[in-house]
This record gives sequence, structure tokens and C-alpha cells, in this order.
Amino acid sequence: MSKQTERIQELMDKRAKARIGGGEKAIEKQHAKGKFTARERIDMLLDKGSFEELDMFVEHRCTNFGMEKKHYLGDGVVTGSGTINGRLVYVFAQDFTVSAGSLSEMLASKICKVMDIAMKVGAPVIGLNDSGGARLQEGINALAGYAEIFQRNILASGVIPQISAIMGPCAGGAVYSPALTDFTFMVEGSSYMFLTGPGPVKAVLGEVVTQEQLGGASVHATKSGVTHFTATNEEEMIAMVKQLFSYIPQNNLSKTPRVECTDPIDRMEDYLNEIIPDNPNMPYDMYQVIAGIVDNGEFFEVQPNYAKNIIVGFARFNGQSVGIVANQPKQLAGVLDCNSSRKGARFVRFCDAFNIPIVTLVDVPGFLPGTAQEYNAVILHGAKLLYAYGEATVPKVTVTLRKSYGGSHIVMSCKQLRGDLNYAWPSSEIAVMGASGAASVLYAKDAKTIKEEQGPEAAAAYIKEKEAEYEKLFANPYQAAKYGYIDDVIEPRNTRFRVIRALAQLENKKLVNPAKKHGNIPL
Amino acid sequence: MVLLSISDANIWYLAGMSILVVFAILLILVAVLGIFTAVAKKTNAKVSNIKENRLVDKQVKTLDKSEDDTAAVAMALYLYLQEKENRESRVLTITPTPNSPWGAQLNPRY
Repeated sequence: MSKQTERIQELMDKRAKARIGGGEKAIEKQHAKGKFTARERIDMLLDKGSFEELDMFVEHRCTNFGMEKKHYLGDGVVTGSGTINGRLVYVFAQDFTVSAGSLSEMLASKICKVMDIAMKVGAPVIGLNDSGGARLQEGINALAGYAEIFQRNILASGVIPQISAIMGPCAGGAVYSPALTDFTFMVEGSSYMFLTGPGPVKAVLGEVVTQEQLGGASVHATKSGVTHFTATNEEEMIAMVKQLFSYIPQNNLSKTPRVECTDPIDRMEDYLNEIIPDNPNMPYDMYQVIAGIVDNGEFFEVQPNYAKNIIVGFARFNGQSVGIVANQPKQLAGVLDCNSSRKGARFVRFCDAFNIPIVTLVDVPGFLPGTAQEYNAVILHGAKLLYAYGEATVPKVTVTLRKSYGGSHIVMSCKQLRGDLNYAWPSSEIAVMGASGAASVLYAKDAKTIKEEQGPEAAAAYIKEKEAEYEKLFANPYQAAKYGYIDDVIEPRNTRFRVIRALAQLENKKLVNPAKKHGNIPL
Repeated sequence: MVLLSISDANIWYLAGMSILVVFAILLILVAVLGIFTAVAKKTNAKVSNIKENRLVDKQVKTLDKSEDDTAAVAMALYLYLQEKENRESRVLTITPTPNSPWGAQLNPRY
């Protein structure tokens, strides 16, 4: 065997060693937990044969607590590039089989390297997280590693899409990287995120909770809104990541990916002409409206179980990716509150950052009243949504289906917030408030006098009459259309075509905000 | 005796001749041994090659017995080569993005 052949053999041996990470036993353990290894996850995520691994031979340089005797090639994270349906993406996958995926200085530097390259070439970064936290033996160096990653997350925010998939534990400082990225996925039952675990919670507060109760996927999907998507297993999660990836562009300068549209653009859905109930207090399902107008009825919802009174997600119109924001009359009558405002605002800002047009479907009776909302700063949260819409320069198409009252009318992409094309269904009511509320305020004095003189029945009849008057005058789209606040009143069943044509018109929209360091969104 | 009579002038001549003869014999011995070694090595190599070839022939003959066996081995070899991670990928999956504003040299925003 020549010297060169020997060297090549040595390379093969080293690669083979690196590929088994923490060893066969650790891999078996990982599989026994129903989890895949870092490399298996990457194989599932990327196109076959597309993965190019970087830094396979990196090792830690810690000598504390006997670490000088423990060395693993790659040091607990697999990093590199590959493609998803031909589109370049950078990935890192923490390897739980190596020191429980704990974050070391060198591990962090590997992650930083792929993030830096991704920023140079304008490609998204997908992180597959499965780590026990900081590598304690490395002390402050591990913390410095976290901070290096966070800094890059911040600088990459709004420049390249960043996706985090939590496939195991993610605790302590580690949670901030996923929190800084655009979308977070979690697996039900096997992944959890929290700043302080059940141990410290018990010690400090005397509260006994399990990991799942404290930071499981269902908690973050329904209560905190920390995670955007949950999956029942890792395979499903990877499939969801790929699906999300199909809707988003490579970077903030690229256009959204277009796919061939197999759904007729002029498809009319007759049921939309009858979907609004006669009784304004009766709900209907906004999902039916969305399904009726988007390509092939396909809608990829973001945070489907959090703040259900607002629906956000991705769909396509004539093959073009679009962000949809819609009030859901079936949940809390579609009101805006703290959580729904935050949810909507973050989604609108993502779409704006990455040139994804926004289609807004409005049926909003107002903001949720009450001390709970006011004490939780609904003013600030509502302002976030207002700010997000007002700041957005992407094409904005708004369709008002039914109610659009008061402050919530303004917030939901109204004309004055630079809505590009604002349509309304004939059933829409664009006004300061609902007819009953307005009549009882406007005619309160008269009603009181009538009540004193003629009794309560006469007063109620009087209010009813005034309600009808108000409704006739304001509970329609034509008052707003009269002043140009609505561009057109459209037939509901033709909404799909009207939205597609609007988006086609706005394809080359150019609007630039005043130069500034950055705005001061009410956080 | 004329033969035994060694004159002073011949002493150095005879000594030189003796040394030359001894060295010449030694050199011939080294050369002969070298030739023997080389021939032996070549013969050994030929024998081992023949042995190996016979072994391979035998194995091939054994495998040829059944088509199913051959197919199974072929499949196993194929899978082995497919899964052998040490083989570097030679597939280019990146779809080119011509005219991407990201790579534009004159970019108004950056």
C-alpha cells in the first residue's frame, strides 16, 4: 500500500469514526427513545446525496474535569449544506449521542460557521436542536458560544429565514436561539423547552410540575405561543419543515418561490355567496372561506392552536406564496386580544421581511374588553399589529367579509395603513361600532326620557327603530366605498379571481419606508 | 629455485594480484546469490497468484450454481456501495438561481 493510499484509508477511518458520534451504544439508546440521530435527521430533511458536511474533524479543547481524555470527532454537532427540492440550505443538527449534545465552545463555532456562510450566500438556516444545555466542564466558554450564536441569529433575522426544530431537550439559555428564529417546531412527547426546569421551579416556588407540563410541545403550542408547529413524531416534523420551506424565499432580496398552478384562477365557489349568516351574531367558519379561495384549498397554518381567534398561515394564489391573516368568527367572535394581536403582528412582520404578499380576510367586531386584557397591555399588543401592518411594504390585499368595527377596523390592514387593494363583500359592515351599540349610545338620552314617560317597552322599541336606521346607514360597505376607503365591493364567490388579479397587479410594487436606523415597535 | 625465488620487485606485484583475485571471487559470489534471490522471489509471487486465482475461480464456480444466489450477492454489493458513506457524493442538487439580486454587484440596499 502506497503512502498516499494509507493516508486515504486514514481519512476513511476518521470519517467512519466521526459518523458514529458517541458510539453504537449511545445510538441504540437514542433509537430506544424513539428518536433519530443527528445524521439520520439530516438525511430525512435534505435531498438525497446533497449533504456536504463541514468540520467533521473538529474536537473540543477543554482539559477540565478529565475532558482531555474524552474526544469525539465533530464534537456533538453535524453541520453543513444541502438542498431541499433543489434549493440551497444550511443545516446544523445537535448530536445527543455525544455528551448529550451539550454545547461547547467548538460546537458553537461550528454552528456559527454555517450561519456565517449562509449569510454570505443568502440561504436559509435550519437548526435541529437536541441538547442537554451548556457543557458545564467548559464553563464560561460554553456561555460565550451561546452568545456567539444568538448574535448571529439577531443579525440574520429578517435577512435569511431561520427555522428551529426542537427534537429533544432545549433548556436554559439554549432556548433563546430558537426564540430568535422565525419558526419553531416541536415534537409532542419528546421535546421540551424551558428556561428553568422542574427542579429549580420546585426549589424556588414549591411548585411541582413535570417537564411536559412546564415546557412540552402542547404547552408552547396552546398557552405560550413559543412554538409555531407541533408534530406527533420526527418524520412528520421533517415533512412539515419541508412544507414550510416551500413557501418561503431564500433571503430578503429574493422573490417567493412560485409553483405551477393546477387550480383554475377563475374558479367560483357559489357557497361563498351564502356563507354569511343573516344574524350578525352567528358565527361561520373562516377556514371554509380560505379553503374556497386559495389554490387547491391548501393552507399551511402557523400556530393553529394558539390564539385561535386569528388565523395566520401560508397558501398560494396562482402558484404564488402568500401570507394569510384572517379573523375567525368561530372563536371569541373573531375579536382581537393580546395573544391574537401578537400572533398576527409577528406573522405580518415575517411576511414583510421576506417579500411575501399579505392577504387579509376581515371579520372583526373589535378588541376584547375587560380588566384582564387591559392589565395585560392589550393597548401595546394591539399597537404591535397596527405597527406591523403600517410598516409593511409588501403587496397588501384586504377583503372585508362582514364586521370591521372601530379600532380593529384600522388595525386590520385598512386603506390608510397603506392597504393596496381593499375589497369588501356586500355583507360587510364598516363602521365605528355595531348598530346596537351605536344606537344605545347615540340615543341614550332620548331612550331615558321615553322610558320615564312611556315605560321600558316603548324605550326598547325606540332603540330598535334607531338601530335599524343606523344599520341602514352604516352597516354596509358603501359608506366606506363612498369615500374611497374600499376600492370595490365584490361578489363573494369571485373572491379568488379578484385576489389573484390584485396580486398580479401588485407584483412589481415598490414602496420604501423613510430611512432610519430602526423603528421603535411597541414591544 | 627460480619459482620460489622472490625478488623484492615481485613482492608487491604478487600481493596486489592476490588481493584482486580474492575480491573478484567475492564479487562473483554476491552476484550469484543476488540472482538466486531474485529468481526465488519471482517464482513465489507467481505461485501465490496462481493459488489466488484458483481460489477465486473456485468461489465463482460455487456462486454460479444458482442465479438467485448471484442476484442476492449483486444486490448486497449494490446496497453496500450505496450505503458506504465513505464514498463522496458526486451529485449536484443545487438549482441555479440566475439573476439573483442577492449576488448583484450593484445593490442599492447594501
